[in-house]
Amino acid sequence: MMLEEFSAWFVWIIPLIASLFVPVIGKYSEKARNYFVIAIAGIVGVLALSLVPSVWSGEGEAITYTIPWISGFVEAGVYIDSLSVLFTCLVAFFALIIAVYSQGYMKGEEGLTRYYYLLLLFIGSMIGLVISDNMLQMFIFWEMVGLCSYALISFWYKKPESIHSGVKVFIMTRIGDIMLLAAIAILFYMFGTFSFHGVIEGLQSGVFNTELMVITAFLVLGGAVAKSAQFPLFTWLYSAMEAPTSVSALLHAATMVKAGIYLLSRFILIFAAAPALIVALQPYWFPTISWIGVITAFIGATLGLMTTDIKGVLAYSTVSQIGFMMAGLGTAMAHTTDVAMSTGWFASLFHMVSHAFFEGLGFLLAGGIIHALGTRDMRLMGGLKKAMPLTFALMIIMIVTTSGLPPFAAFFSKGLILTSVMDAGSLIQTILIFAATAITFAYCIRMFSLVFMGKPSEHISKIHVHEAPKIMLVPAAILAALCIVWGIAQPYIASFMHIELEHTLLGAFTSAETPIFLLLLLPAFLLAYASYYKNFMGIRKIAAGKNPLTAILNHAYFIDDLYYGIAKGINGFSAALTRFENALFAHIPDKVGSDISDAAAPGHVMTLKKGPSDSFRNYVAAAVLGFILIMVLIVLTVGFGGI
Amino acid sequence: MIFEILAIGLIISAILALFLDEVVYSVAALSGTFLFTAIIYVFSGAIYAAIFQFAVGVGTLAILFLSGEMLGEKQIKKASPAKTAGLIGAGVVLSLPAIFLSVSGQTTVGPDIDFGTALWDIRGVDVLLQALVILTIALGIAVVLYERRKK
Amino acid sequence: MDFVILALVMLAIGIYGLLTNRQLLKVFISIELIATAATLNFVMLASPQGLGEALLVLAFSVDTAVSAVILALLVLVSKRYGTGDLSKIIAKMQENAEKEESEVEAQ
Repeated sequence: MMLEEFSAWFVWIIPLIASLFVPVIGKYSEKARNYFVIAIAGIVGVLALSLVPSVWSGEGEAITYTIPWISGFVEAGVYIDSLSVLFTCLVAFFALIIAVYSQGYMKGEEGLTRYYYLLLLFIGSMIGLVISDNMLQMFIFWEMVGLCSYALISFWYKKPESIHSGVKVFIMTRIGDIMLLAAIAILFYMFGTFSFHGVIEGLQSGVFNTELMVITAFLVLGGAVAKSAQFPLFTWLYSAMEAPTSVSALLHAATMVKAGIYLLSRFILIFAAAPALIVALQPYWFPTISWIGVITAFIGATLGLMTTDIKGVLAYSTVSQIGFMMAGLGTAMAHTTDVAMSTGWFASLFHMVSHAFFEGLGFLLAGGIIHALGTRDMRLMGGLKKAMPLTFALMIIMIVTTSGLPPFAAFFSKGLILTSVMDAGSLIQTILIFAATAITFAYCIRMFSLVFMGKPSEHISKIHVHEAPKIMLVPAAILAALCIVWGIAQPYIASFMHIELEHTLLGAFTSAETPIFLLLLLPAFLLAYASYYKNFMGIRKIAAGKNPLTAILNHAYFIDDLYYGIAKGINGFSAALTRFENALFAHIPDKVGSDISDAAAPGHVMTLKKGPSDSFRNYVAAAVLGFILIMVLIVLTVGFGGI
Repeated sequence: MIFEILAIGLIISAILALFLDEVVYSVAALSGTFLFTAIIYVFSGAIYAAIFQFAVGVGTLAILFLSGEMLGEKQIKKASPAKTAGLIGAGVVLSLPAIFLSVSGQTTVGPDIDFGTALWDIRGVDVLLQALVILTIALGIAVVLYERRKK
Repeated sequence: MDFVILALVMLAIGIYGLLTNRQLLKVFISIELIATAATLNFVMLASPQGLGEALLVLAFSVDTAVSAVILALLVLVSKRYGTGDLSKIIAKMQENAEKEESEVEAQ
């Protein structure tokens, strides 16, 4: 067995198996358990790194190793190419960072054995997801990632909001899961195989139903939209802030939300095996992705302006940044059918990594602040500059990187995405995405001034604020260093991904969009400066007053209200059914009927508010919707059969 | 003919399980559902599936009867004959489409192998892994129960 | 005779039960019916072959494990709240949550 084959298998098998040992070790010694988790994360990191050289020196072709799973039908295997190795390394790196950070942040919490067990399972399934060589295996890990994130988000299960948000995450991502499953089923129906290689060969042979493939592509997009928290399914990410901050950092930086980006970039690679298919996808599919991305980038950025939760700002920031990546993917194939020539595909993956660094950094620092203050409300913060100088210094790096100022990581990655969107030639998309970059800068400054500037609030003056412990600052410092140097690594990453990039590092400074971008930052900066340092009340008055804009932003564009409306409709439907059933039985001349209608009076249903019952009914609703979708698909794909 | 009768029985027992108010009768109807399913499997040649279905059904029902007292409201009601008759009628009506309509035209594809080969040669790893997982869960439950008792 | 439609009808009955019932036991029975419909479909489509049944072993064991967990939860919940009626349980849960909230506020 060669080294890379060994690493490719064990990089995900080791954390999965090690997770089973966590409870056993945790029973005897908590210290041993913590060191065990760090050691496993370290081993995973080394194994992931050992995959890099062969991919880098290779020709850009995928290497697969398989073993029979169900002989004759399915083979389990690993798929090593630059995309999967990039994701594997990122996840493994963040596993180590978070494992170390958790030692400080989660110290003294209850149920830490469960936490570390789920953490290792989460990491193992995410690596398994990105390195699988067939869709069935990928889907299993896809579900496992969803399950682990659900369990970790409602980690503090004694808080009702925590449970509620966990269930919300589970249900909303489930919509995407159903779509992905349908896509996999259609691909199996068409090509008779689950493996990526089989599908690529089938596409290369040119014998495929183009219309069906377009439908499949849209279903894949649906899966990615739900998992990556894109418009209109982005509201779960804000609710997921009930999770411990270390989990949020992992969730945002490397796992879960990035799974959607992985899925799309992987399927763009697969679809690119047939240039005719890419041509068929160009008129609708790719523009849909870029529209979703651009709209989400804009919406996420505007929502980041209004929330008072420090983690909420970071959550909407992730929504917005992943919108950027989607825009990059959507414009990737605007002028070419070859992935190796595409700027957008590379740009969104490059931005994915730089986003992991600065968002991870933001969450680690926010965790330190929450740890010290015991609150997430930014209105209760302020003036932390003196009390937490190291956090302050690192936060400056995070703010500068997130806003995309030169010469840090996001300047290059975001610049490439902007170039890609501009090249694609849609004026409205270009305007929206530039507006989103400007608003990004504004919400960063807003968060920064609310937390660190000004006078300490009453809440702070009551407690003694201490700097975050070293074990939490060191991982953050590593991420900050990476934020600074990552942008310069662009040519190396491009050669690692086997992309022929037209844009050089220096070109990023001289291209057309840089001056536009920097000019746009100016009004955002002036407005933020005026309202937070010069006490200019204009913006604040608008924000505090009652007007449509404030209402829309406070309600997150009424998306959640829409979902609750649907759930209420289902509840009403259910109540009507119950009433109908009772009426039916009440006419039977028997006492039982009236007894039942007393027992389950419709009033019970009508008085139910948002709560566990809603989630139960939502689950049923999701099942019904998915079922209808599958039926429609069956009718679309195979017709009515024998009827 | 036998399949049609079994299908009608299956649907009727499913409806009864859902709509009867008395917990004991409801569970008895559910056992009928399991039984009819198992018999359908037997007649279509899937004898092992029938055995599994039967074993699973018996296990589930045993726990259900044990916990049934606890779960149900203490209702002292008699099932009304009119309602039961109505439910059975609904069951018959609902099973009609399955008898007279047909949508699945395709025959199955795949290697024709017997159950033993399929289970051990093809699914051996899976079966072992399952056994491992089930044993782990059982061990975990035992540990939890033991600690509870110690407390 | 078509077993796909039969399974479909079973599924519909199960979903109807989930939508209308608030008795926990009935909810569980509905879930069981849906699971039975799924396995029925699976067995009948693969019936003459051993492989279908071998694959079904997994479905059965998962189904059993799920129902065991659900039943354990049902017993715990109904013991704790003294009723098996979902709407009553939820009402009690909300009462408890409000009580806790007012206690926190009182502190």
